[in-house]
Amino acid sequence: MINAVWLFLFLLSILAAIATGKITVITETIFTSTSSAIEFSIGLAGAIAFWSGILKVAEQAGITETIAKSFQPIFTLLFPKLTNNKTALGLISMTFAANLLGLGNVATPLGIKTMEELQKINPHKNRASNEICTFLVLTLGGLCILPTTLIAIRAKSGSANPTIILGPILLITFVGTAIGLLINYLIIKLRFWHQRKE
Amino acid sequence: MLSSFIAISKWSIPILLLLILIASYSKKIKVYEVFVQGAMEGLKTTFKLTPYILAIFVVIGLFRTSGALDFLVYLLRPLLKLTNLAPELLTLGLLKPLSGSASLGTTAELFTKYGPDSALGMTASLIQGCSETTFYVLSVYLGAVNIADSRHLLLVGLICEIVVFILALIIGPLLAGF
Repeated sequence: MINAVWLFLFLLSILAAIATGKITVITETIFTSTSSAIEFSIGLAGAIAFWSGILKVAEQAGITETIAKSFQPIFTLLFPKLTNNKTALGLISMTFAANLLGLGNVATPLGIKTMEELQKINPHKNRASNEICTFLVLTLGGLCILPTTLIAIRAKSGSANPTIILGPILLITFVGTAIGLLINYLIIKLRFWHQRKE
Repeated sequence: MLSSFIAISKWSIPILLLLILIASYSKKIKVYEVFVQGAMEGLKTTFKLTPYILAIFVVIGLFRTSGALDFLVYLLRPLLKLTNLAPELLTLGLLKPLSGSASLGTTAELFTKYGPDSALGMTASLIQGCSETTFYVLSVYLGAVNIADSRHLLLVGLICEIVVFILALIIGPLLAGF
């Protein structure tokens, strides 16, 4: 499905450039966006490497397990199969907490580490497991207490009350996350996408 | 309430690091060696991620500069008239699932043009703050572990996106009255 979206966007863009007579824009954009992609990757590489190192230390020190235990009441409901997998539950909890607090730079490295941990217990390596689906829907729901960058931009643009949006954002993202998790749960339960390949 | 959240957000990382270091010291773990080993694994992961990031950046760049985004907004014009929705907000709603930095730029532009506390500014804030970069998150997270079959994830992600967008359109103008 991501395949289809990518192809659609690519084709549409080239056709639009042709239709509007902005053909030179294509090569220019390819040049600028590829170099910014590499710049971005290098920045991300540092963050991922650092947090992977710290997480490895945390795991051996037993911190991951402690964090997993404190979040267990919520996450055993969402991830019944992971009750005994403290590493995975700990990583899920930390990613969730980082997103909640608006720490985007930390959330991505943690999220990717979580994906690797969940992939270890995925029976079909090429397909998203139920746990991976639930984890990603939880992330895509975007539940957030403190959207730090947004508040900063509002303040910089001269807002009289930059933080007034916090309550509504928490409410809306809560509804979004709840609906996402509900649909995800139903699809998994009803096995719509489940045994397609067997 | 708010200041305590901000405090938690500020203090969480330093305190977490402190706890990890103290715990590893008391358990006599070779912190430096374990850290380097983990960081090495992390670097390998990023190397695998780069092609996915590249693919998305190029397509989103083209989507914006080629006029395809404007074209989509133009196609949806009847819908805009029907709901009395500003075209800028639709642009933002279409952009946010693709790229966080691009939509942040658009939000900032909207703020300078209409003011962050106007009905439009409030709605833009909510769209920016609530919706996730669905397409980016899915391709990078799944790409990191080489999963090709994303099952229902894109569908659920887009439903979340639409729900959040509609709620933002309803609640945003109400906030401007405060």
